[in-house]
Amino acid sequence: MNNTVILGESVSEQPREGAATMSLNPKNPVRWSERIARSGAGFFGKPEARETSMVPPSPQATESTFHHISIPRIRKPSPASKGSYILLKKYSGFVSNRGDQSFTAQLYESSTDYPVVEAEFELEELSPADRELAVDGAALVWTIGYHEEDSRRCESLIYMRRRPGWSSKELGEAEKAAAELTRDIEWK
Amino acid sequence: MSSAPKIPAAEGLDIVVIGSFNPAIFHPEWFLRQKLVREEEIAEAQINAISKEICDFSFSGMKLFCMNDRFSIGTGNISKSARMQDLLIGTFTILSHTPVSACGINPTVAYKVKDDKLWHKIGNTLAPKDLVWNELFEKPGMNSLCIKALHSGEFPGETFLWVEPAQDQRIHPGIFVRANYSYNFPKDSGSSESTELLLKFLIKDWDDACAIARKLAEVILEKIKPDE
Repeated sequence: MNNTVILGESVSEQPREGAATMSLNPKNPVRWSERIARSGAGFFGKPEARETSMVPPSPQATESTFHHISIPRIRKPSPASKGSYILLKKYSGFVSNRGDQSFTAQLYESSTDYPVVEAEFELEELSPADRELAVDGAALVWTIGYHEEDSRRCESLIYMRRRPGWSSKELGEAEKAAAELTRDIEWK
Repeated sequence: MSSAPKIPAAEGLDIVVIGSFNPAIFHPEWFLRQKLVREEEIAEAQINAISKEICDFSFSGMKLFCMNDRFSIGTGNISKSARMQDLLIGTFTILSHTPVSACGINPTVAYKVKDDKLWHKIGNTLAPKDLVWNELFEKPGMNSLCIKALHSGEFPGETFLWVEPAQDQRIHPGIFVRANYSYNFPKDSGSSESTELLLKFLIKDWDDACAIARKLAEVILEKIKPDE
């Protein structure tokens, strides 16, 4: 059985022309197939974890090591997004007050941030579909970054999260956890 | 003062789910009908292939790829990570009886470094050449370094981390770090149970897993400083 799985390259995979090595001639080209061959000889024990990686398993792996799939080589598709994106800041948060023209959001960079930041946004900054979602309590993510294509432009994007509602099982688990926490609090 | 650049030159994320899938389902129209994507996102979708065996299309800065035993979604635009997480959670909430056996969260990041001297120093520090390589080979260089580590918690598993020279000439000299943070579902979990675990894994471990490549790169650049 063919023991090599060759997939289209990851969209976030490195471009491979003019490959370089650190402390070697940076002009030295390395082919993708060579890189796969070098990418893992299994020195560190079971390499199954890389089954869930975007890099295919090494051809050096023995047949019993991987789940094998015999498929034809797939041509690398065009990139999913044009240009590149550099993330400068990312805030998570929720809508705390929605008005007719604007809304206020409580935002934090990490879950340990305190106090949280409050910011006001015009509803116009949201896409039409997202405006309906911007209700009190709705979760959102605000990213600020550079989008580079022919030129560099600063981009501020607000994305209203789309999560399925809580299932009855999840609600039950949350209530149980809250009850346990309440029980364990020692009031003084 | 820290010499580490604070902002990566590029950042991406790929999620891979191993299991049993029906690629033909994952048509852009299906996502639209399930209200997982917006109409304008699908209008710009670029479909490469959709058949019983394979599904491959890009939309809204993300690329979805599915075969019978592998589902993946990725982006080179890290601002899409929350969008991607919601899409995955929405998809597998609807397909709640999909048997899945493993999931990997694979972040990538590239940082430009100050100059070639520091770039070589990083390679030589992570993979010293003096003890073994210089004696045997001409101009040995670190092309890829892979480290395996463990992660614990509710979803214990292995994390593979790679450090490589950045290949993109726009990020030269630079380093490229990628990680594979994975969880293998218990073999005795049923299809609905495994999907439920997948959803929990994608919620609970998401932030930590997504940040792992960036954290490693930042530590490398913080610890390995240019010569004064």
